[in-house]
Amino acid sequence: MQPTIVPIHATPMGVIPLPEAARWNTPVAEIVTRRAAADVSRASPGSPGPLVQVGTEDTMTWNEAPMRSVMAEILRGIAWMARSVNRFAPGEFDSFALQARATYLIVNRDGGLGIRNHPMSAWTGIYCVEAPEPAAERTDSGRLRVYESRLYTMFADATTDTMVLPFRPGHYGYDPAPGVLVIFPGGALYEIAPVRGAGRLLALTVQARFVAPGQKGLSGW
Amino acid sequence: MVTSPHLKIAPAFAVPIVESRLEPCARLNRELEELFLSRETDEYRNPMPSHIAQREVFESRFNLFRWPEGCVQELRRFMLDTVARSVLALTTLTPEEFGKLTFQNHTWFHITRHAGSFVAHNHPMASWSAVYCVRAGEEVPDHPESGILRFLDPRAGANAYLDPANEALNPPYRVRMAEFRLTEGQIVVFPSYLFHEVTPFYGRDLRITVATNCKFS
Repeated sequence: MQPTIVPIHATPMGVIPLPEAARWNTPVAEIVTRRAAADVSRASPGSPGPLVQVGTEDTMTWNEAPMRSVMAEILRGIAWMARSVNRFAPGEFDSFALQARATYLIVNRDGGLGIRNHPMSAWTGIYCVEAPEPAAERTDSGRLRVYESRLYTMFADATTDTMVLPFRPGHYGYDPAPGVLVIFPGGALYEIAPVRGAGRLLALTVQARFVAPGQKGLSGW
Repeated sequence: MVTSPHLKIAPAFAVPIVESRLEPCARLNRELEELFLSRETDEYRNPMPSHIAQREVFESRFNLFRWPEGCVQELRRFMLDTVARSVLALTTLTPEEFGKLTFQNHTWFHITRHAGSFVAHNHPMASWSAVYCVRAGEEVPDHPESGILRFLDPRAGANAYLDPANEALNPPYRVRMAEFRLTEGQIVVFPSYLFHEVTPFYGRDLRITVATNCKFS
């Protein structure tokens, strides 16, 4: 028997370029900006003023053609992710009903999105429409950070802190890039680190889950 | 007639967070602030920060409690005494047993300016941590989350499934984050495994804290 090493508690994170969606980024940014300007008073509780604006969860239903096109691509990306980390019988995945809702997210300079997760969601998808410029003095400016949750890392020695992915302890950071969708489990805690570079982060965040035929207990969306 | 049996409910996996306060604290905090600001230099800066450094947050070396200045030693006595009293209150150790332990600490100060923050982290290889507030910094009504010390619920992800029967749990059973807007003289002691962060500070002045990690052998 050969020695083997298995990532027994690995967390999947998909990084999926969506070139078809990226074609629509400019009109999508215009639509979100216009709607957000009229939406400030309805920003989600906890949004700290104009630095961050989190839209209400109706973004999936916006009727503008660019929005519909981008949302369709995002949902295709999420479906690809869900298929990729499973082994379904032929036809099984196609029998699932996809439930999804979306918001827009605007993070301006000095703003950040506080730590959160999305209960009752299988997957969180964050599609970047616009990214801020890098900030030389703050290398994690605008970074998506998915949080470590294992506590046995409290004991550390010279061989544990230094492990490489997928075994490395600690948060995982990803710098959002326009046209790229990032997907991770909906229950995972994440944040957007404060933006310190020029520009803003404009993203569409999608929560999604798949309902098998006859499955109960997932109503409410 | 069937009667309901008595329910015994226990917070089986509780996490202690200890609060205390130094009173009076104005003189000591004034002296500490003056000292810290005078040493906000590369000589005293932590040369190996474990997190991404921010220009808006000065982190000192971890040897603060070795400084001989009277104000530092006065704070040392208060902070470590509070940690010790917390340990005695929360463990089965007797004062005699506790007195035989060797007590080690890493202690440092942070000076935070506008838009400074500190990413969520915990402290491996320590058992108890504490944060003392030297200067709270300006409250900013437009940004109520400015400069908050926030502890993450260690049951990360336990709220992934919610329904009406578990989303309105009473404390301490609800999965939630615990937040403190520290005030001058306040100290918070907590298990080092608890992830905690400082949210972006939007005051126009300074936020100054002292933190310590303790281990015993």
